[in-house]
Amino acid sequence: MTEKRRNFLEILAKGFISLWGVGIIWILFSYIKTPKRKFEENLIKIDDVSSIPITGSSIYHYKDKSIILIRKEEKEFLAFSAICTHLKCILNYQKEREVLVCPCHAGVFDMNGNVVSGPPPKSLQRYRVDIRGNRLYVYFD
Amino acid sequence: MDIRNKTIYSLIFFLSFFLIFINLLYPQKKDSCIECHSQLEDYLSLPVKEMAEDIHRDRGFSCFSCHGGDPSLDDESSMDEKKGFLGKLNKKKILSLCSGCHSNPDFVKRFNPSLRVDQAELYASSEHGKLLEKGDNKVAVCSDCHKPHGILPSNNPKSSIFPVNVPETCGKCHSNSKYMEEYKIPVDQLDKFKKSVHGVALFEKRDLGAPACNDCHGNHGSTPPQVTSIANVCRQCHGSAGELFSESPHKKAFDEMGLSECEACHGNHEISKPTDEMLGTGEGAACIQCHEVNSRGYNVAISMKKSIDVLKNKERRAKEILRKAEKAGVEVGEAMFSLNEVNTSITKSRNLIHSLDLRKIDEIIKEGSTVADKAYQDGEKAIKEANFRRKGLGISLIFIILFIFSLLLKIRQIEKRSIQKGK
Repeated sequence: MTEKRRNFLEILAKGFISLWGVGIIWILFSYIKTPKRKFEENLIKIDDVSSIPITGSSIYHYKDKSIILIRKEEKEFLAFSAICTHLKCILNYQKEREVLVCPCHAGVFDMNGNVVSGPPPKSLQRYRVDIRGNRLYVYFD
Repeated sequence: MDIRNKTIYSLIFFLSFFLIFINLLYPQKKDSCIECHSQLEDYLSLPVKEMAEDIHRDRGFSCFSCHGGDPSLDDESSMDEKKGFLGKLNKKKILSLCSGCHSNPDFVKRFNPSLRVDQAELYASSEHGKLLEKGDNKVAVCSDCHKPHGILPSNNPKSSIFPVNVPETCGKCHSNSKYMEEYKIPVDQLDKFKKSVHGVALFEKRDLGAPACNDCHGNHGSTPPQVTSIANVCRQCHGSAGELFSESPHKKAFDEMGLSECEACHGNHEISKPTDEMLGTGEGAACIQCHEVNSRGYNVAISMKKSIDVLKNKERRAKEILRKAEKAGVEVGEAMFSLNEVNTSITKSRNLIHSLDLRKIDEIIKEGSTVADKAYQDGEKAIKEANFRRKGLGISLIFIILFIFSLLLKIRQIEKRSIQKGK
């Protein structure tokens, strides 16, 4: 084998090894980052809660979940599944009665997610809410 | 023996002495009913076994509380009529015995202050109560539904009146064609109920909120709901559909024709999950039971069905394209979520059918259609993006293959040159 050919193959091999090394480092790095990613997958982060007025509500979608966030007081938030347990309609918050009402068959849920009246067969899933400064976290655990 | 062991043995000795002393001071009451009956043949010992978990026994009641007699005596004189022995109780006696305590608020309060005391009054108003009053000894009294012995609280899943067990409890008599022969009422209610949407929710999904027999017929005052009250019974849960129906032209027509509201279209014991096929003029449509071809009602039925079908098709079309895009690896989460709004519009319009208000239905359908169309367009865009990505990948692959090929050529060229130089 000539020296020129050997040099060329050496450069080629070094190139492939470098690419392989970068790949391995990238995989290792992503493993180190995994817990943070998992943590982020189980929550919704709302950067500015001032967009929700007091006694108001807002609906958020994340992955396969729809969440209705209700602001009861300045620093008091409640989060429930926004989907009615009867026929999966999207719920509305009625601030005057402080209940969640289904627009389809008038199923009513209280502020604990329990069925007050109507055909829904079970309570709403309630989510844990944590407020830090102006940022709000809704956890799905 | 060391001091530690001595202490332990002394403690055991004094504890045993203390227990014997307590037993002598407060001896257990003698109960000859239990002593004798537990040794008798099956059907005579069964009440003893069943009473072991009875709610009354837990509260200090025993056989003599209902059957009388003197359980402190060992011989047959314990079952002397002079000692108040009643023996096997007839149905009327059972009612008066149970209500003797259960209709007495002061007595009941001592055990369960929240327990109702109007059961006997309600029972008297029931079909069962009326027939018993007439001397019918076959009708159900307290012990037929609650069991004579082994009565459990209603929230115990083993109780005969626990929601899931109520249909079978009622069915014991009401599904027995021989037993019910003389009453000339159907005996297929339980079978029908099991197939109904309520029965499936109760038995299969274990949804304790689903209605059992007593939720529509009452429990102690059980009566078949009359034509005029069926709608009120259904409205206990389905209030919104009831309100819409009351505002519709159907209300007056049904009243005039003497039709029961909900039952006329949905049936009673075998209420199946409502489908869109119940609407319109096709096979299985409820509307054509009354509305003749080309009548106003017939055409309204066609319009309502058509509106819902249009929205359903739009939802299906949007869902299909979004799923395709999702499979192709494009993020379409937001558009997928918007389909929840379409589902809400479809469900809302299905309920609005009870109002027969085409304008209101079309408004909702229009809202849903706008969202479904937008979702479909998003799906189209996503598919285009997927195709663009696919093309890009194809072109890059061609370049990679060309690069590998040119590398091979270069190696071969270097090899050839070195051979020529060597020559």
